[in-house]
Amino acid sequence: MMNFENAALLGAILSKDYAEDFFKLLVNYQDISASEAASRLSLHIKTAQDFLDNLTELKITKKNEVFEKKRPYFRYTLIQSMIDLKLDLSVYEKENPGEGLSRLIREMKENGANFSVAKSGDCFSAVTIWEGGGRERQEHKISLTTPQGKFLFHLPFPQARPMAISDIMDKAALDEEYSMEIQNIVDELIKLDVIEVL
Amino acid sequence: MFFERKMKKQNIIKTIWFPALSVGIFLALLGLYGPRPAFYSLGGIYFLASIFPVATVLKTHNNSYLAVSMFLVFAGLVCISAPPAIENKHDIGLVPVFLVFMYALMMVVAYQAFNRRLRWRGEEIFELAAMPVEDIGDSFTARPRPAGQVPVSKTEMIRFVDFMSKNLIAFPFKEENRVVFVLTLPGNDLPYLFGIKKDYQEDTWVALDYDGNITVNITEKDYLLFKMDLDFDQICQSLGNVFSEFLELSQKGQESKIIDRMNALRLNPFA
Repeated sequence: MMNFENAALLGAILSKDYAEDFFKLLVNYQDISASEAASRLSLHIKTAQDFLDNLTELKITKKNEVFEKKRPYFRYTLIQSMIDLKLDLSVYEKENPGEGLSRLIREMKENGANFSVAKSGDCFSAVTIWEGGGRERQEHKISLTTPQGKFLFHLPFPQARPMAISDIMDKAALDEEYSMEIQNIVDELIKLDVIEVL
Repeated sequence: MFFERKMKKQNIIKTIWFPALSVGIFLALLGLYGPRPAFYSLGGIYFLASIFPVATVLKTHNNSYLAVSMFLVFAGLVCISAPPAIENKHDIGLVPVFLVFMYALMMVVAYQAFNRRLRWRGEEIFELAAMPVEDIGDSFTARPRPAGQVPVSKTEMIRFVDFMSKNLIAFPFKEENRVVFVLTLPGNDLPYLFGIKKDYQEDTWVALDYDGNITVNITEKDYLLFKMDLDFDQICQSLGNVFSEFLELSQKGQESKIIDRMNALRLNPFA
């Protein structure tokens, strides 16, 4: 199983338009230097060097230092002819969502957020928050899924009696299967000081 | 019965600006150019002004405004036909007839005004909603709030919408799955009547969908009309309750009780 950083690096490598040609060279050569590969593929030597170094970091190639007269350089050898990209996304699942659902929440006073009402009128379609100040002030718009929009529509007002997330979900007629995405938006809005936990 | 007023007094200029402006223009022209241009201008102003009440009648089916329009037309006719009569007392023409109609219609208009039939009742709705609400400090938030449910059929909804607009309680916007009632304060109705304002998002509204869900939105501008910082959550819920109660009375055919509740507040019909 690959970790996310390595998978992201591998994805970036594979997305290069010269990647396939590069691998054709690596498969058919015993070893190759960055300058040889660059000249074959009409690339800048630095581009080829970075590509090969990234593959080495992912342990797809290995590099050996060799000397031409007194000048050292690296030659790269393919050590994996099969690349397996596997990611376990379940690690991002919220742990113990039941406990999270019992948190008492309500809208924070004077949060500055703007809630856009959906065309249907019974839920929100987006929350817009202004971040930073002065010239750095930026609009941060979060588009909501329909369950998230319904949930926030029933969020208690500032100074109103706070409610448990699960109770708000009941009020908004949302099934428990949506609890993950509801908690995701709640956590995000807590971070942005739009929702407070009591 | 005594009610504690929770709204600030409305600016009287909104009510008296038109008669004050007309009189001002009349007196200025009278002083500068004499009676003929002054009367003709005033007559022209009245004729133009008679269009506004017609717009109210067409949009709301409130027939009381027909009397206002007719009064303005006859006042205009009096002004147009007065100058020859002033210059030659034997040439009075139809002036007496116009005067009789003008005074008769004026009495009708005054009666309607005293009975609050010419007044948009947004202020009374706000007062009713604010009645049970506590003052617990500023808690405003600019977003709508669900405020309960009341079962309603399509026929009942149509009847309720007709009643609310005819009695100038709220201006309705009919949408695919709901009706949005915009609370209009006196003097703020013209953009809606003339179709200039087609979007209600920046106003206070109560929406009723065909499943009976009530949603309330109060704007900051209207929230600041209250003398004190009322609990925003409670005021939204209370406004929803007022509409829910009105709808239930309408379903029972007891619309007169709705009018009685608002009249019982005894707000100044002219301010």
